[in-house]
Amino acid sequence: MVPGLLALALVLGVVAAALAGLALAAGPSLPVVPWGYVGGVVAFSLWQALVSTILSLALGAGLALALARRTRFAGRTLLIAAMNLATVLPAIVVVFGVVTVFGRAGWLGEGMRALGFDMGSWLYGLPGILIAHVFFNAPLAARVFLAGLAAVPAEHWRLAAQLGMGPLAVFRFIDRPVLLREAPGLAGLVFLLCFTSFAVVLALGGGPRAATLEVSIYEALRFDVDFGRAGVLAALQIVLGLVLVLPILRLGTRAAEAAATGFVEARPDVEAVLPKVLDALVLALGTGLVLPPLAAVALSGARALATLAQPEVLASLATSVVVAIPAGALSVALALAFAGLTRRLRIARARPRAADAVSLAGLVILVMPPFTLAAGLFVVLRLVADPFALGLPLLALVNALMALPLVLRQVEPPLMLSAERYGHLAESLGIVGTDRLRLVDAPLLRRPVIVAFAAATALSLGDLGVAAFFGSGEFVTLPVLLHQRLGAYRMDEAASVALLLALLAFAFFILAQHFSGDGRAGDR
Amino acid sequence: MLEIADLAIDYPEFSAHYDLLVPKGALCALIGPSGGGKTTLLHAVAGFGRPPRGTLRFEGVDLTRLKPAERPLSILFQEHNLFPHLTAAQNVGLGLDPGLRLAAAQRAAVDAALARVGLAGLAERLPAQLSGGQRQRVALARALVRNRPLILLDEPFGGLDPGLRLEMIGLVDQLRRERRLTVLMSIHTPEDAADVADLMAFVAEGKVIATDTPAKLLAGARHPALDRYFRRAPLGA
Amino acid sequence: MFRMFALSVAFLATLGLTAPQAVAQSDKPTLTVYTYRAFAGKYGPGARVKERFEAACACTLDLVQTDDAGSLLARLKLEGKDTKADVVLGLDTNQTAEARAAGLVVPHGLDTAGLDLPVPWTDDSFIPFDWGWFAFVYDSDKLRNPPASFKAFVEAADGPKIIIQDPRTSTPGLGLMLWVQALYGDKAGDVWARLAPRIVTVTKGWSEAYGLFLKGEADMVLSYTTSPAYHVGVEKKTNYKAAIFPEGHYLQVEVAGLVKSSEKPDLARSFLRFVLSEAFQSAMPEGNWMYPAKVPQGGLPASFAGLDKPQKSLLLAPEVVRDGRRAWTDVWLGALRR
Repeated sequence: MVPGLLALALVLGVVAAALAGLALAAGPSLPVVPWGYVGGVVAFSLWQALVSTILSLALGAGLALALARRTRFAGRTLLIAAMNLATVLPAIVVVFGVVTVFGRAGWLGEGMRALGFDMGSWLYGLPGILIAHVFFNAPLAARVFLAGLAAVPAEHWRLAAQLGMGPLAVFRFIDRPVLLREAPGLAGLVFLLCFTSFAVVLALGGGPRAATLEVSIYEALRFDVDFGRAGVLAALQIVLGLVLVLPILRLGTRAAEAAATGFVEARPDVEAVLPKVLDALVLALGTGLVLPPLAAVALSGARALATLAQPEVLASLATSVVVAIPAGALSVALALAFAGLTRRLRIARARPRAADAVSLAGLVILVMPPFTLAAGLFVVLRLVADPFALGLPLLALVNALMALPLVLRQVEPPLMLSAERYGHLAESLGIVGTDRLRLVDAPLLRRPVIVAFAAATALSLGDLGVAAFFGSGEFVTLPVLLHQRLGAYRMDEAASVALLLALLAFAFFILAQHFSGDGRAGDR
Repeated sequence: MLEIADLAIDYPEFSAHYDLLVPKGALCALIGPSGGGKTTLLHAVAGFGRPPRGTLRFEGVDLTRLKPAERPLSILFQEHNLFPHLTAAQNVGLGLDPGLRLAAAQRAAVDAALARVGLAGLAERLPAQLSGGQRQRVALARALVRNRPLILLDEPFGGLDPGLRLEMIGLVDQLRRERRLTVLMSIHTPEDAADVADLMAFVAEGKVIATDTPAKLLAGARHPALDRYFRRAPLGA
Repeated sequence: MFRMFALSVAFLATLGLTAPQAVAQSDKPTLTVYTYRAFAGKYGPGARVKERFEAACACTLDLVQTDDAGSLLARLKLEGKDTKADVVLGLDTNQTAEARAAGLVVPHGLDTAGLDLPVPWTDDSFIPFDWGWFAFVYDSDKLRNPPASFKAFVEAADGPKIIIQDPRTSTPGLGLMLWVQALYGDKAGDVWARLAPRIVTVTKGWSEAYGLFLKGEADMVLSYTTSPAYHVGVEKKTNYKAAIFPEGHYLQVEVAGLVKSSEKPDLARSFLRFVLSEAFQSAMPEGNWMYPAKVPQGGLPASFAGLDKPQKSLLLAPEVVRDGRRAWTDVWLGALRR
C-alpha cells in the first residue's frame, strides 16, 4: 500500500507542481481564454478521438484473436514486434511513413493510378487522422488483448473442447468476456492518446479545422509567452479528459475468476473455417496497415545509412539508451506500485470507486500537455535547484511518467487475475508487499512485465523528452538528433536515425518476446 | 473455545446469521446443502469477504479486528492451496516465512512436517507432479508448520476417492489429537466424519440449524431442511 | 527482476550526482549565450562561432540551447532577473516587442550603420545577425509555370496545391500570415478563404511541411528564398526554386540582444560586436542557410549566387505585430476552419 501511495503522490505531485509553477510564473492577473475557439476544437477532438478509439480497439481485438488462434505461422514473432514499433517512432516520422504509403504521390495512389484509378486527394482530414491513430493504437490494443487471452486458464479450453463448442460459442463464452474485461481501461488510454494527439492531427488533419486543445496551449507558451493561459488551458484539458474517461472506466465489470491453473491447452476453434477466413482477413488488414508505413520509414532511412556511423549518432544512441532503460524500469516499478494499490482497494478493501479514482490518476500524465509539464516543472525546480544539474535523471523520470499509463494497462490485469486466483491464500499466509509480487504474482506477471518494460523503454527511446523543451542542449537523444537533421534539410539522414530508433526498439521487443516465452502459455 | 454468536453477514444476494460453539480441541464437521452458507461461515472466521457483525472469538480473543494472516488459524481450500510454480517444500515453507527466507532449522521443520503427512522424499516436487491427495497433504503440512491452534478446512477432500478421503480425515484427526488443535471442517459426505467428529453442525439457508454429536444429528434431530438434505420423509408424514 | 528496479533507481541517483557541470572550471570569464538548438547544434554554425570568438576574447563562450526560438523567449521570461544569460541570440522581430515589454534586454549601444539588410534598422535593443525572405518553394521539374505574382498565386482557382505551417506554432506560418496582412490588410480574410481549397494541409512546424513537400504531397511549400541554396550547395540539385512575387516578400530577421541582468555587459557587448564581424557573419549562409546581416568581404558562397531575389521586402514593426497578431490569427482561423 505504501509504495502505491508514494507512486500516486509522485504522479499527482509532478502534475500539481507543474500547474502551480505556471500559476507562479503567470502572476496574479487572470488569463484570457478564447472560449469560442476552445468549444469548437473540443468538439472535433472528441469526435476524432472517439472514432479512432473504436477503430483501434476493433482492429486490435481482431488481431489479438487471430494471433491467439494462429500460434505458429511464418513471421508471427516479427509481426508482433513490428506492430509495437509504431509506438516508439516520433509522430513526424509516422506522418512521413503514412504519407509515403497513402499520400497523393504515395505507393497506394501510384499503384491505383497504374491500374487506371485516380484516388485523388483523400488522405488529409479525418481519414488521415484515423489511419495514423489506428496505426499507433491498434497494435497497442492487440498487445493488451493478447495478454488477456493468454491468461485464460487451461481448464476453460479443456471445457470448451469437452463441450464441443463451435467457434462462435468459444468467442461468446471465452474470448468475449476477456475482451470486454480489458476494453474499458484500454479505451480510456487510447481515447486520451488520441484526444491529446497534436502534430499528427495538424499535419494529416488538413488544417485548423482539425486541431486539438494542445495547439492553443502550445501557442500560449511559445508565441504569447502567456503562462497563465497555458496553465488554464492545460487544467481544462486535464479536467475534460478525465471527466470523459471516467465513465469509460466505470463500464469495466470484472467477473471474478474462480478458475484453476494448468498447462498450455490448444484452443478448440483453430481448425474451423470461419475463424480461418476471419483471421486471414484481419491479419492481412493489420499487416497492410502497419507494415507498409514502417517499410517506408526503413526505405528512406536506408538511403543515408552511412551517416549512422557519425560520432554524434553514437553519442545520441548512448544518451538515449542511458535514459531509456532506467526510465523503462522505473515506469514498470511505478506501475506495479500503482496497480498493487488499486488491487488492494478493489479487492481487499472492497472500494471500487477509490480504485477507479486511483486508476484515473494513473492516466493524468496523458492529458498533461508536455510543454506545460516542462515549463511548470522548470519554474518549480528552479526554486530548489538548477534544473539543468538534474539533467538525465529528470529526463528519465519524466519519460518514466509518460510511459506509466501504457505500462499500467499491461500489469493491472494480471495483478487482478492473480488476486482472484490466490488472493485468499496469500492473505491467509500473510504474504504481502514485494514477497507477494515475487512469490505469488510473478508467474502471471512475468510476461506482461517484460513486455511492458520493453514497451516503456522503447517509448522513452522515441520520446523527444519534455526536458528537451528547456533542455540545456547537453543531452542530444536520438529523437532530438532526428529533429535537428530534419530542421537542417537533411530528410534522409533524419530517416536513417528513425530507422535506427526502430531497429533498436525492434531488438528490445524481440528480446522481450524471447525472455518472456512467446506463445499462449498461461501459467507454468 | 471458538465462539460464534449473532454473527451476521450481508451480501446483496445472500445474508447469513450464525451461532456456534466449538470447544477447544474438538473437531466440528459442518454439513449441509451446497449454497447453504458453509463456505461463507469458514471465510468469515478466516477473515475473507465482507466483515461480519456480531461475536467471533477464539480462546477469548476477538478475531474480527485481526487481518487474515494474524488470526490464530490456518485454512485449507478444496483447490488452489498450492502455488503451482513452487515446490512442495517451498509451499510448506511459506507457512514459516511469507518471503521464503528460511533458516536451517526452519528447513528441517518443513522436512519434518512433510514426513509427518507421509510425503518424505517428495519435497522437491511441483504440485503438478503430485496427486490430489498428496497436494492436500502438502497443504496440511503447511498448516502444521504454521502451528496455529485452529484449523479450518473447506471441503478439503471433496475431490478424493472414498478410501483416500477416510485416510485423510483420519490424518487430520490424528494431528489434532497430537497437537490439541481445534478443527472446523466442512464436508459433503457426513458419514465419513461420523466416527472422528466430536460435533456436527448442520448449516442451511445461512444459519446453523442444528448442532449435536454426529450420531444424534444423523439419527434423530428433526428439521425440515435436515430432512430434505437427507431426503427422508418428515416425521409424522 | 525487482532487484533491477532498485538498481535502476540507484543508477538514476548516481547520474544526478555526476551530471556534468555546465560551467567550465577556469579563471577565464564565461559569457553565457542563450540560443536555439538548430543554431548551436551539430548542423548549425554554433561550433564555429564559439571557436572564433574564444580565439580572441580570452573567455569561455557557453552556448546554452533551448528547443527553438519560442522556448528561448519563454525561458528568459521564466528566469527573469535570475537568468544566467548575458546575451540572447536567435529571437526574431516578431518576438522582440514581447522581450522589450518584459524588460529582458537593454540597449546595445552599437553602431548598426552599414548593415546589408533590405530594410533600415533602427532597433536600439537588438542587432540583426541574419535574415531571409519567406517564399513558396517548388520543384521546377514538376511545376513548369509557377505563379508570377502573389495576386496570381491567390487568384488561380486551380493553381498549385500548397502546404503551409500553422501561425500559432511555427515561425514561417506566422510569417505568411503577416505577409498576407502586410499586403492585404483588412482583406486578409478573403485572401485566406480563396487560398483555403488549395491548402493540402497545415503543419505544426517547418520540418513536417518541407518533408511532406519533398514526398510530393504538394506543388509548393512555404519556406525561404534561401532553401534552394541547400539543394544546390549540398545535394547539387538545381530543380528546387523559390517563386518570386513582385508585390514583395515578408522578411524574417533574426536578432541578438544584451540581457538586462548580465553582470558582464562589456564582454556581452564585445560579443555583439563580434556578431556583426566578418568571423561570425561568414558562418551564417551555409551554417544557418540565411543571408548574413553584413555580407562578408569574400561575398556570398557559390550556392547563394544563383538565388533569385525579391525586389521588395515587407516587415511589420514589432509592436504592430504584437498588438495585431491575436486578431489576425482569429481571421486566419475563421477563414480556414469553415
